[in-house]
Amino acid sequence: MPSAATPAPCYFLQFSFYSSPLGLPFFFTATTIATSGRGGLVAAFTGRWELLDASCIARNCGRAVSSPPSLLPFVSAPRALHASTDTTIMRFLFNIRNLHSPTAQCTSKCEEDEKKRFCWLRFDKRFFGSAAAVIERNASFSTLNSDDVSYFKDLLGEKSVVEDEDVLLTANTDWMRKYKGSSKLLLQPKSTHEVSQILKYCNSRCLPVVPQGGNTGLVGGSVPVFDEVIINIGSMNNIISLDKVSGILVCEAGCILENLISFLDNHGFVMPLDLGAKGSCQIGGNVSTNAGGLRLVRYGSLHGSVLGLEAVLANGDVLDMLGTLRKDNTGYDLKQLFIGSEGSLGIVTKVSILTPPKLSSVNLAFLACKDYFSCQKLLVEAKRRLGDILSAFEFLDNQSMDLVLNHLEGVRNPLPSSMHNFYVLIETTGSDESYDKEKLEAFLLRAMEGGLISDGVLSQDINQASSFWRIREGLPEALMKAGPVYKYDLSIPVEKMYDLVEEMRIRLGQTAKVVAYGHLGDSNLHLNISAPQYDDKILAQIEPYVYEWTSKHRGSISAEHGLGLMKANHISYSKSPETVRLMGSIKKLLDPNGILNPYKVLPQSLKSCH
Amino acid sequence: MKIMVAIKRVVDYAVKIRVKPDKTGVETNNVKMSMNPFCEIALEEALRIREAGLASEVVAVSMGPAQCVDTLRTGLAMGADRGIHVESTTGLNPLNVAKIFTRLVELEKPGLIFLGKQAIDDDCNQTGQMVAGLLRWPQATFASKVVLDKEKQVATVEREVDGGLETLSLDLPAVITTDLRLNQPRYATLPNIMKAKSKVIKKYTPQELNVDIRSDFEVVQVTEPAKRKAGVIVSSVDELIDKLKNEAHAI
Ligand SMILES: Cc1cc2nc3c(=O)[nH]c(=O)nc-3n(C[C@H](O)[C@H](O)[C@H](O)COP(=O)(O)OP(=O)(O)OC[C@H]3O[C@@H](n4cnc5c(N)ncnc54)[C@H](O)[C@@H]3O)c2cc1C
Repeated sequence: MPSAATPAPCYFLQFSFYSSPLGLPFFFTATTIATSGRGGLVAAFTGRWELLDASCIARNCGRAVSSPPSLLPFVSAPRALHASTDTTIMRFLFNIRNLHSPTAQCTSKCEEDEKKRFCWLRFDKRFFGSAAAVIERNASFSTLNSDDVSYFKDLLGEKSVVEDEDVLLTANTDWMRKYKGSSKLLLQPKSTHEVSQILKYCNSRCLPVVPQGGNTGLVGGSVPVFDEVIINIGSMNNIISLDKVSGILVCEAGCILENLISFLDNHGFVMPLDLGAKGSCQIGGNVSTNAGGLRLVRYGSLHGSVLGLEAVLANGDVLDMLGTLRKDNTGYDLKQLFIGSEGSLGIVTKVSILTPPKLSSVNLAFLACKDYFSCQKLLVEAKRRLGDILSAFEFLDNQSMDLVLNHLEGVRNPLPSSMHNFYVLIETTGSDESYDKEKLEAFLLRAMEGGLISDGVLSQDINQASSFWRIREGLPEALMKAGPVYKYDLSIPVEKMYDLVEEMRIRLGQTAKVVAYGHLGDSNLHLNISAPQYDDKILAQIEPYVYEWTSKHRGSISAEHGLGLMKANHISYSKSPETVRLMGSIKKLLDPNGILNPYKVLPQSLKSCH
Repeated sequence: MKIMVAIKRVVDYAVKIRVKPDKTGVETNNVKMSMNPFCEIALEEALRIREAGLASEVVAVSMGPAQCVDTLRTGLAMGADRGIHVESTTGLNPLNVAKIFTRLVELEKPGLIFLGKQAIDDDCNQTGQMVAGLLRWPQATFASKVVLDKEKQVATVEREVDGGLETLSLDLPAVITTDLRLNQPRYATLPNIMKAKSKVIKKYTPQELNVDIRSDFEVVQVTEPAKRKAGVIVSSVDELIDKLKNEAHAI
C-alpha cells in the first residue's frame, strides 16, 4: 500500500470475457496496466488464464497487482477456458479486491484510493452478435487439411503460415469483439505473387478466405464467420514511390495509414484521408472499405483520390491497374469496383493515390452549440465563409462528451464551465498562418454574436489541437469501454439527421444509451446504442426501425463503414433490386466459387458455390 | 502587485525538429511556432494568483521577431492584461534576454516575476537565474507549487528535487521559474480571444532600452542526433546471448 505522502502509484486492471451463444468456450482476457503516480504508462501486460480455480488466478493477479509498477512478473497459461457463470468471475474480482483491502495502518486517503481501485476493476461482458447463429456454413466449401497447410508452408515459408492459437484468437476477433470466427489458419504473404498463388490454390480447392488488413473494420467484415483462411496483407508494407512534383504515392496495400501519414509529412504531403483507427488500419483496408474519415469534406472520397490499384482475383489473376494518371478515360474504370467492395471481389495488393501538399497553417476550434439547428446553420456558414480553408467539420452530442469524459483517461473537457447540448469541431487548413487565423476568428466571433455558438476555444498549439481531436477520435474506443454497442453508420440529409437520434431515445427509454456523433460536414451520422448487454429485445427495438427510417428518408444504411457481415442482408434498404442483382452478377463473374469473403456484403439469397 | 511573465515563441512542441542543411541551426521556416510550454505554465500561475485577488495586473513579455506578437496575443487571450514586445531580428541569447528583462523590471516595477524553467528550443535553463542575479532578487527554480502570503510579502515554493520535494520561502519581490507539474494551463476561449484584441501591446527595441545585444559565444554547428539503427529479431535465446556477448559486448 502506498503511503499517503508519496504520489500513489495507481494500478489499472481491465477484464473482458467473451462467450458466444453457440456454446463455444468462454474466453477470458485481462489486461493489466500499471501506471506510475505521475500518470505515465510504465508497463502493460495482456494474458489469458485458465479459469478453473478462481482463487489461484486471484493469487496470480494479486501478485501482479501488488508488484512494483515497473515490473509485472506473472506468466499466464494461454489457453481457452471453460468458465461457467458470471458468479465465478464476480467471486474472482472480489478476491482481487480483498487482496487489496486497506490494511490497519492505512489512512482514509488510502481508503479513497481503494474505492477508486475497485472502480478500475471493471469487467466487460461481450456476447458475440448472433449473426453467425443464423448463417449456415456454405456446404460446398472444403475444409482445411494438413496437405493444404504443407502447401502453404512450401509456398510462403514456415513463418508466414500461422497456426498459433493466440495469434489466431486475435485474428478471429473483430475490433469491437462482437464478431468471432474460428479460422485455423492465418497466412501472411509478402508479395503479389504469393497472394496470387494462395488464391489460385484456394480457388481450386474451394477453400474460402477472408482478406484482412488492420482488422479495425466495424461491420464484422474483416474476420471469418466460420473457418475461412485469413489472408493478412500486413507484411506487404513497402512504399514504392512518391512523385514529389505531382504528390502521387505508390505503395503496397499493407502499409499502415499512420506510417504513410508520417512518411508523407517528411516530404511535405498529406494523406487525403485520416481516421481514428490510423495507427492500425492499412491502406488496402481503407481502399477496400472506401473509408471516409475526418477530411472527406476537404479532399473528397477515395473514389477520387485513388488513381490506380493492383488487385488479385479469386482465380489468382493479377489485375495491374496501377495507373498514376489523373485522367484516363480508356474503357470502364474497373479499379472503382475494388474501392469499397470489402474484399469480396479481389485482394488489393498495391495502391496509387494522389496526395495533396501539406499546408503549414492548421487551426482547430472546439465549439459548443445550444441545439442541433445551430450546428446545421454553423455548417452552412462555415462552408460559405471558410470554404477554401475548411478541412473538417465534426459534431458530437453531450451524451458523447459524457461518455468520453467517463471512459478515456486524461481527456479534459475544453469547455468545463457548463454542459452544452452539442459540440462541433471546425478545422481549417491553409497556407497563410495569420490570414487563416484571422479569417477563422472573424468567422467564429460573428457566429458567436449571431448566437450560433454558445462558447468555444481555439487551439493555440498542436498539443491543444490533439487533445480536442482526441475527444472526437476517441469516441469509438470510449464506447467499447462502456460495454456492448450497436453501431449504425448512416448517411441522412443533414436537416433530418438528428430526428432519428431523438426518436431512438424515445423508443429505447432507459434500456440503453443513445450516443450520436459524426462527420456533419458529409451528412454522416454515427448512431451508437450503448447497452448493458447484447440483447435481442434491445436489438428488436433498433432493427429494422433504423434501417426503415433511413430508407424512408432516402439515406444510406452504410455511409462509410461498409456492409460486412452486419448489414449484408440489409442492402436493399439502400439499393434497388436491379442494382443488387447486377452486383450479384459481378460477384459471380469475378469470383465464381464465392471464396472471397463469403457471407459478407451481398445478401445470402444471392450466394452460391456450386 | 504587478506580476511580469516572460513568454517565448518557439517551434511547437509537437513538431519534428529539422536541422538546416548548412548546420547553422534549426529550420523554422514554414514550421508551426507556439508558446513555450513552460512559459504557458508560468502565465497560468500568474493568472491564478491574480484571480485569487493576490495581484492586480499580469504583464506578458516576449522578445524576438515581429511574429512574437502572435504569441503575446495568445497570452492576452489566456488572460494577461497587457503585453510588451521587445523586437529584435537578431538572435537573443539568455544573457541578452535577462538584461532586457531587467531593464523592463526597472520600468514596470513588478512584485513577482514568472518565467518557464527553460525553453524547449535551446534548453538553456539560464534566463530565470540570470534575471534573479542581475536584479539581486531571491529565486526559486523548477516550482511545482507556489503559495503567496500577501501580508507577509512571502512566497512559499515547492520544487521537485531528486527523490523528494524541497520547500523554499522567498521574500518578495522574487523570481520563480516553473516546472511541468505546477498547473494545467487554460485554453483560449472565444470571448477572451475577442477581449484580447483590444488589449495593448507596447513595443520596444533593445536599443531603446539601452541594452547592447552581442554574444560572447558563437554557435559552431548544430547537428542531428545519430540515427538509431534498426533492431534485429533474434530467433533464439542462444542467439541473443551470442549477440549480446560478441556484437554488443554488453555481457
Ligand atoms: C477507432 C476507429 C475509428 C474509425 N473511424 C472511421 C472513420 O472515420 N471513417 C471510416 O470510414 N471508417 C472508420 N473506421 C472503420 C474503417 O472501416 C476502418 O478503420 C478501416 O478503413 C479498415 O481498414 P483495415 O485495414 O483495418 O481493414 P480491416 O478491418 O482488416 O478490413 C475491412 C474490410 O476490408 C477488407 N480488406 C482489408 N484489406 C484488404 C485488402 N488488402 N484487399 C481486399 N480487401 C481487404 C476486409 O476483408 C474487410 O471486409 C474506424 C474504425 C475504428 C476502430
